[in-house]
Amino acid sequence: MNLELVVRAVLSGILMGAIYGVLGMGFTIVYGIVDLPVFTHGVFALWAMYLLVMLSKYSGIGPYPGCVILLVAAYLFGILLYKLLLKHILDIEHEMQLVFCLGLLIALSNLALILFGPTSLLLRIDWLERVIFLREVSLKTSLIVGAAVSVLFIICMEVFFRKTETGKAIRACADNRRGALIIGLHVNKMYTTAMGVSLVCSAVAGLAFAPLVPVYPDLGFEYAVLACLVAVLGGAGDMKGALVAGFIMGLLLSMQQMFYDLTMARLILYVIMLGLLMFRPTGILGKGKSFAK
Amino acid sequence: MTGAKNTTALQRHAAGIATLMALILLPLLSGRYLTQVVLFAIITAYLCGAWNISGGYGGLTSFGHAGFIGIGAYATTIPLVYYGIPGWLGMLLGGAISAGFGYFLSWSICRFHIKGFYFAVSTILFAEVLMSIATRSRYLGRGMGVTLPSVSNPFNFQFLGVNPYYYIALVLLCVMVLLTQWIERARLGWYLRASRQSEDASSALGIDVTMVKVMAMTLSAFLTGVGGGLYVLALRYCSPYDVFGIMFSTTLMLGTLLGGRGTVYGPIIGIAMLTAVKEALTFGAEALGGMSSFALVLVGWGVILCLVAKYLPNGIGPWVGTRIRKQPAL
Repeated sequence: MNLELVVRAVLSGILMGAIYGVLGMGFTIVYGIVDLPVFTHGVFALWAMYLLVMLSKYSGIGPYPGCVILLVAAYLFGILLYKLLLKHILDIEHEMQLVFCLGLLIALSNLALILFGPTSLLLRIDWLERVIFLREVSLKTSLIVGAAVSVLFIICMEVFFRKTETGKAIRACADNRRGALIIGLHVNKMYTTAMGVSLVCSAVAGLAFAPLVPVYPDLGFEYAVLACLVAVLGGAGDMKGALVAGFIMGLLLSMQQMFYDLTMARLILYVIMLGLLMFRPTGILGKGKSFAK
Repeated sequence: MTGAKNTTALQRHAAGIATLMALILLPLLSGRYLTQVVLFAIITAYLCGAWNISGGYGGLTSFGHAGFIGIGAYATTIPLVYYGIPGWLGMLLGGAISAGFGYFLSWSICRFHIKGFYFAVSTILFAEVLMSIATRSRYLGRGMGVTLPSVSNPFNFQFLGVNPYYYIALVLLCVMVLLTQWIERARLGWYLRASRQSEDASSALGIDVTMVKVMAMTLSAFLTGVGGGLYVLALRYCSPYDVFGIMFSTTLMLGTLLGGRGTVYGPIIGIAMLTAVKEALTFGAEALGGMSSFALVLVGWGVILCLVAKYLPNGIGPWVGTRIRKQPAL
């Protein structure tokens, strides 16, 4: 076994893991705070990828201002999504909430198919295509930059939820909704903000994926499953768990891809997850919601 | 009072019998295209009926019934193409294997109390695992799938025309309706509905909730496997992305929820409406020109799924039913 290959797989697994962590965090914020199983974040990431490719290719805006525009747009879209749709499904049956989200996922991913076509697109930015050598181990710049952006974003999120007034208020709503109402917090407004933040999470993951992975419409469902898996592994609703789970997921996938091919890697991952669902539903850190409702 | 009740029962049967007559006569009167469309609608309605037993009566909202369809499809295709084993035997074989998987899946889900979001994820994963296996195995044809030979061999359930499949599917659908009616009146049906409404209360009354759910899922898996076999025989092509895909699971769920979960005729009503919407959208996409009709149909179904989840969780059938019953009795 080639040592450089192993080191490369471990490194790229960890780097990919940071992005998976952000993707899972988007799901877990909504599930933990608003208490809705919105597993459509993969599709939001897909849309972010498509829009970034479109903005940098067919408009004069270019990729960097495009990123900023997309992040703001994602936040606004999250707020809109909550106010127009998700607010109204807060009190329906849990199964029906899941069905609703499945409908949303199918509608949005096929809308992408109609608008952008079935062929896969890749964002090409010259300096991101370069390869960096750490001694013998080669890594793509885009992977390193994507992971760095993700880690930076995770730190920002941590500061937001721990230090700022709004972040604390949001966590209070998640901990005890009635208590938050009694002390005069505007719960609905906090939910709206949380929704916006979670959409930004999936947009960041999508933007980080854009120069790495060619984007095609079915990717939305794959990422949606992946985000669910990260959430399940980390314990649904547990943000720190989601990050740890993201790294584990990245490592698992890249190690398995080294030994087998991609389908086999995915197969092993799914089987592991099925086992995990049965034996440890609270996630690796054990702080997630164990049995939803 | 009893007179009025008998009349409504008779009326309902009259509607069912009239529909059956129309369906029997349809292939003789219409062209091949319409027959084909109705054939696949009937197969899907049958599969929805199978979903309805576990998902409608039992409240096990499965997101992964495509797994069972795929097992049935491959268990029919592979023996038929490689070893010349008759299609009807393959369908039964598929049903049996599906039932085994259904038993295992539902038993482990009940044993570990997996519910809600986790239940949805496990069922999706179940179908995805099977799809990964099928797309990886050379024996199962990888991503290309397996094409069934187009020959006429009635003993093997292989026909050149559409009509024989049509009548087989119709027979299966009738069996499904009768079976659902029987379940509704039988002990299993009452147990299922009771455990859907409150698991704690049912087990306090002495119902073995786990056993009831496992039975419903196993029965549903068996019927779905048989239907999956017929589906590939009629389509003459078994593609892993089709038979194991999330879209098939969604169709079963959507058809049943739209028509009315936990009712005998719900799946048929739901699939009839969905097929009408699908054909209308396909024609609409052609009229608009160049648009992918497939994607447009799926967007439409996603929107319908959202609307049903929010406004009609019990489906159109019961909704219309309450409207009718509000009128003064005769």
